[in-house]
Amino acid sequence: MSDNLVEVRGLKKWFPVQKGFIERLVTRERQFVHAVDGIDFQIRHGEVFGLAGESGSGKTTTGRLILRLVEPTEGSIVFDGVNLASLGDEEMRRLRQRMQVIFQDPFASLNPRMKIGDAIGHSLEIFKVATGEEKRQRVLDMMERVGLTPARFFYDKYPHQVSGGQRQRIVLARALMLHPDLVVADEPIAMADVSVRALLLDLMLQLKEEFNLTYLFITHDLATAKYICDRIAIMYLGLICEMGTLEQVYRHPQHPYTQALLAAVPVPDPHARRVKRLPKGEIPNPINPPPGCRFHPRCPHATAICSVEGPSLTEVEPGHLVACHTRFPA
Amino acid sequence: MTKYIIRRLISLLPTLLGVTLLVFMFIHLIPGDPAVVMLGEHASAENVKRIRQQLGLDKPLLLNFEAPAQALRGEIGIGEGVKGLFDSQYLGFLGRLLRGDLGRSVHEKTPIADLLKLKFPATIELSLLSMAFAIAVGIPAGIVSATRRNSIFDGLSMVGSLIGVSMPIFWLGLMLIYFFGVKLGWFPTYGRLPVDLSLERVTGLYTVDSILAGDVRALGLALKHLVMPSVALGTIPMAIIARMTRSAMLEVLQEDYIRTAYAKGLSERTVIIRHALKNAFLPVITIIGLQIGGLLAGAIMTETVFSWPGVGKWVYDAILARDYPVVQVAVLVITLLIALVNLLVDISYAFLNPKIRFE
Amino acid sequence: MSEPVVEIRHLNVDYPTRIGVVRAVDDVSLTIERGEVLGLVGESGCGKSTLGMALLRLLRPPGRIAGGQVFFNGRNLLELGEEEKRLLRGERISMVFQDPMTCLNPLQRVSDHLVETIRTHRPEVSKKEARAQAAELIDRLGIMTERLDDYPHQLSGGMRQRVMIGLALALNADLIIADEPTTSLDVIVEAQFLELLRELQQQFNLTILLITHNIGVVAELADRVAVMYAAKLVELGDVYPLFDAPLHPYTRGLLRSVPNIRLTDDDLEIMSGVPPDLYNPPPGCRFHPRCAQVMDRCRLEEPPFREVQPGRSVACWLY
Repeated sequence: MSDNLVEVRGLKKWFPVQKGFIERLVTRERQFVHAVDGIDFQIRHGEVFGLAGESGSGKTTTGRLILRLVEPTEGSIVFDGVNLASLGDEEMRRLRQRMQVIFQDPFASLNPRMKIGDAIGHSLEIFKVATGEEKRQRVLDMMERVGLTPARFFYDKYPHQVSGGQRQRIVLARALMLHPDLVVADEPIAMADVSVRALLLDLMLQLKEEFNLTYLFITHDLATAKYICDRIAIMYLGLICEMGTLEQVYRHPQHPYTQALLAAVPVPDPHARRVKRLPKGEIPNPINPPPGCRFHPRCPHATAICSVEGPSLTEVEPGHLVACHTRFPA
Repeated sequence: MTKYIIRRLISLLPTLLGVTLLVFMFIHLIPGDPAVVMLGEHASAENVKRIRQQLGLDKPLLLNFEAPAQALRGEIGIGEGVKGLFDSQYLGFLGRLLRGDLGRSVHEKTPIADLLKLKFPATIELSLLSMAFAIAVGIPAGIVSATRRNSIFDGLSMVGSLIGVSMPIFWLGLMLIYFFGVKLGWFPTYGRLPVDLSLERVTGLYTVDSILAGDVRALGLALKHLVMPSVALGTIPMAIIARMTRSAMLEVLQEDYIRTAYAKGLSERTVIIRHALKNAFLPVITIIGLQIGGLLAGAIMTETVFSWPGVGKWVYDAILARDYPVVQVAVLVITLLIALVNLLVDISYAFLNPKIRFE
Repeated sequence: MSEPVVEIRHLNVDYPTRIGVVRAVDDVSLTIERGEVLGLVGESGCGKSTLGMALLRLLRPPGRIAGGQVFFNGRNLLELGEEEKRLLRGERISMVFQDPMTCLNPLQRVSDHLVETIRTHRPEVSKKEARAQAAELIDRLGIMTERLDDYPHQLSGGMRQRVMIGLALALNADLIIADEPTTSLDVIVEAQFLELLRELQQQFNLTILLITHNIGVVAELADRVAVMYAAKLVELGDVYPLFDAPLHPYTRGLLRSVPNIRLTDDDLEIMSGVPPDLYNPPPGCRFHPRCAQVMDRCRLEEPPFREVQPGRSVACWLY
């Protein structure tokens, strides 16, 4: 068995820009949003792999591609040695039990008219794993383990009757019911209150050990990622610009974008105040991404080649990959 | 913006083509020979034949493949063969339409185009006035309801609009005639003008014509005749517009930019008129456009109840008389009108909404 | 010391609902000095935004001020008539809201927004002059003047938030209330915006009430920090001493539970429990069910909010 639970190769997702019927007849040229534009990475068994970037970087689309909630335009995703593209609907459905997802907004992802216990146990019924009393027992067990205690009290409540942090626990419990291998967590704590966030992060780590999980942790918050991820990939406009262990990326960032992103994170310490060197402007439109390196129009170190040729992701030290022509070690 | 309008105009073409095809097919969807259906069971064979010829029912429906076949066999020239291909009922119908030849009414024996010129302005005048009534009452009522939410006015106007929406036009029309026409005698109960009054016909809109003629008495009479039909026809759209305006306003008033507007220090009046109303107008305009479609359908009922000599009553009579060419044209005109109105609505929507304007 | 811009005394704000009255701001006293950035932090539902809206007298119904006084430049805001209140808004007190995507009227151009604000309060300024002022303003905010006639949807989130700040600067407001101004912005844009805000603050000696749940943003910008918990003010002090040595156990827990990208120590301190239900707040100190240093007294008596060191106030029985 390989070390990798997930292998992503040359993954692309272009969304066509919606146009009217007549316009499609008149203009031949079709426009696409280059949401994910050719990325490669691996997620190892048992690790927390972070995917970080600003809005529009393609991180969320990548997560959905891995779950096969959207079909890739190009490239392949291999899950535990199986190429997802080769699977039929029924096989994919069975494989889905092994990959679960947690979304940002726990409220939106819970059916408001379903009791908490039933929502958590729903997948057991869908996949005909357990019903009736057995289902109830399993759900109660899981609720205890994610800290929804007393479980019997919460079982018959509805989502609106509990707090935001508890809702996120419900979503966690639901994701874990079928004992998945991979959990894709898309900004799982962004909506939670500050004082609850640390608690949820800790719970996620604890459950990871307990259930032998692998996480794909998608986030815009590098400070949070630092507390949970083992390895991390930084995305910008559909491409990975830097990837490596947490230590490598945070201590020795080599891509100017990573450096800027790290410098921009507000630090909860007034002594750390200083004027920052920030890139100009904002993330451009992913319909017509800039040629060459996508970051070059905003990059303080851009040279002539950057506007012509897109740099490929190359290994600068074992396990640390950077896509930059200049590479200014911080 | 010009590009947008051109694009919208182009996209109108397939719609129109589809409508002509449907209207054309409609006559063939009636079971039996259309000519017999039109003339009735006891029509003479001669008459049936005449009608068949008049309607071109002896030709193939969409394309005449006989002609090119003949050309291939060398019976006629290639040019004639190609030309003959298009000698079909539908293309003939389309060609006549384009030339402005709408055919003849089977019953009145007059060209339909002439009848249309006579009836069309009456319907336009009635529709415009009912829409004006619907907007003039509906929008202010909606605004006041929204800004004074849960007040007595709000309650009354919402109950009123609910009644308005659910009231059948013919019943409302008959009630108006009974109370304000027969009992109180305030308004005339039928027609557009008293029969003994003659007015030079310029636009066919009697209100406009009477102004052009400088005839104040005629203007007063024309308006008096318009009141009840307009109210009958305008009540449903008015009720819908009022409800829509209210809910659009309520939604907009919750928006963050309304809070921003207050935070700028604007007065409530300015906030409501300049910020809330303009934004709430976008969905309301769409609804108004949709109502105009319903209005033309309602015109059939209203014109019948009030003996209003417009397209609606004309269609009603034509249906009863099985005057299918007339029905065909009337349906075509109404559809065309609805398509045009929707186009106008879309354009005005785009004009008001910068997000579309700049695309 | 000059007179404070804002002096809040024992302010209460109530939200009557079907199942009871929620006191969203409970007996809060606070001053904002001229030229300072006061950071108001707390978790969602603690009453910090309500406090901000109460200052502008823009509480959404059914919210209402149920007691206390708010002095603005020495005048009691709560005694002002509608018209006086309106004139104060936008001119003397300005607001920057959380979501720049929804805070600008989509049908108004950037220029309309600014010109409207200027001319509402300075009717004597001609349209042309107001437009020139608007152009100058957005230039100063780092937006190209060509974008003056753009609609909000043509601007990026960062630019929209700059326009909001422009509304505040247009009339040299005495107080800018910024409610989560960077929360919906991306990290780099957020940093750019904070930088701009800091520059402008120093340049024009702005007075800013910075309301946020983001401890990092407060640490970057605030001179003083006020911490709210469950509708109550629990701690107030200068930013450095407060971050270095938080007094209230809640402040301490809050600061330590925030991930810090610069720290090497990987352990976040975890606060147990959740903020209380305001329909039914716990007796005594509202934090006592979650407090590690809870004493018997905390369960029964509510600690007063009082000054324990010069410039440092806290509501806790430990001090």
